[in-house]
Amino acid sequence: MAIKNEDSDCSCKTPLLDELEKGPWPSFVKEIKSAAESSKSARDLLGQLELSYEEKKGHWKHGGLVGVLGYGGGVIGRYSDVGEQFPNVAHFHTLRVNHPAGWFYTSAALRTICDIWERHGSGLTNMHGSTGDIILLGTTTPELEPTFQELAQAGFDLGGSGSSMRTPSCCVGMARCEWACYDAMKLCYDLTMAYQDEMHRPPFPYKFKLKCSACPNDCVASIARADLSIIGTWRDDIRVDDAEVAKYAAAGVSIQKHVCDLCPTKCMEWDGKNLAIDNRNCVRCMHCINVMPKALRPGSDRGAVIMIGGKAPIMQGALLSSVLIPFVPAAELMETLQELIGRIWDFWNEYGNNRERVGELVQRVGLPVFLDGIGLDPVPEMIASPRDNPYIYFQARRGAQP
Amino acid sequence: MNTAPKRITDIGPPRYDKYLPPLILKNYGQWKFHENIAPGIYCHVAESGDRIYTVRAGSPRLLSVGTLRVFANLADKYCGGYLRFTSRNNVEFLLDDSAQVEPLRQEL
Repeated sequence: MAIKNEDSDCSCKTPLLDELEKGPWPSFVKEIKSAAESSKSARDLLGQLELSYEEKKGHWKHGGLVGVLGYGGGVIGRYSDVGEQFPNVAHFHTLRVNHPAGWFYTSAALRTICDIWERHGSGLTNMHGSTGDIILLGTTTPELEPTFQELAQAGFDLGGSGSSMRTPSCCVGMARCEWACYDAMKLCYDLTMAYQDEMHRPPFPYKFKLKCSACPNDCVASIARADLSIIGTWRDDIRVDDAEVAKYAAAGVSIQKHVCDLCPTKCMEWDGKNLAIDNRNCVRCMHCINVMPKALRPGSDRGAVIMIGGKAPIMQGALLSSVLIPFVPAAELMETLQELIGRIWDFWNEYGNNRERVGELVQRVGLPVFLDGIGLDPVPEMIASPRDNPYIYFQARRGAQP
Repeated sequence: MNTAPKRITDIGPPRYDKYLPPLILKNYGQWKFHENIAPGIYCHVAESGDRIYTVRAGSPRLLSVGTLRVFANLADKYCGGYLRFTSRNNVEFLLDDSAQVEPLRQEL
């Protein structure tokens, strides 16, 4: 398909991008082309992207400071280095708009966002970005403030960017999931509201991400992506409905092969009639519950584990979060988190280097120093793999041949 | 005299329960189990016996306002005007009526 572009020297043909329209999955190229029918910037975006594919080279300049009055984040400056060739994407800034928890919308709310973005920007979005925010892709500096104020009138605010508290996100939680161990959507909303200042006016050495998953399936991947991961769990026993287990077995699920054999701690036994679970050795991996959602359910004494230090590879390499507080009852989560977050930020602001995530700080100073700094006592759950620690099994192994 | 409207800042996102469908508000935190009916089609059953059907559709994540309006129209037609997105950027339509699942799937 050729793209007509009256305002630039766009080559008009996009043979390389056209390849990406093939295949069964919906194509982002189709989306840009659809926007390009009425948006000049989307047209030039296609042209610039085709050029990038031809030259195997990106054409966005690095960064640039833009924003709305009184905010230090929420807008990411984007400038093209081929602006003369594609003038409508010379400035192509991104707005991060704080999404509703769980990404629920009414059609009216969605249309309002569409209308605002059609008036002020390219008509292209990410629904949603990796942060969880609604990402409005592509506008110019003069359009930022009017877009922001129209969004505010509609009840939406900007999200976080830069060295700020980033927009917290959460899974669907209690809204439509039987495994929710705490109210992730409410907690996410309450935390977002509590830290508006830290989100909009970056105060930290670097970004700080916080994600709430209501069960150990961790649907928002908080363990890998969040500096502070709040993952739902339970303290008592997995609830078993024996009749439903039998039904799964009768329906062809091999309880031995698909459940017991795949249990990471082998804490389940199936004798063909009854499923016995040694709950003391359960590590809350969720596998058995995922296989038989009608028969097995998380326990009733529910809350969350709070973990620290997850991050993506940029700067010093990827880290997974590790345990900070093994269990906080659901009712005490908000209060505990506010106290804990305050102490973590104090320590990080004092001792963190510029562009050092909190997980990297913990690695640099060591966990004991960090715990001392935030006033927490060490507990066995903080060891990465306590069950794999050879010293725990020293007695049992003493007689074994080396 | 300054007649410009007052500038709004720091309002935060819409409240977490503002855009929830009535059936979800009714059964919030009271779900019992779910069934995978077909690829991309789920049924969650509440303690009350209420059933909510989810039809999940793939998305390239980068979406034009045109496609979002198509989603909004489908939500109006089949779901009382409610929809959600997943953490992996797909779109989910939430239905009360199982008879509407197949027509929606066909239209998608």
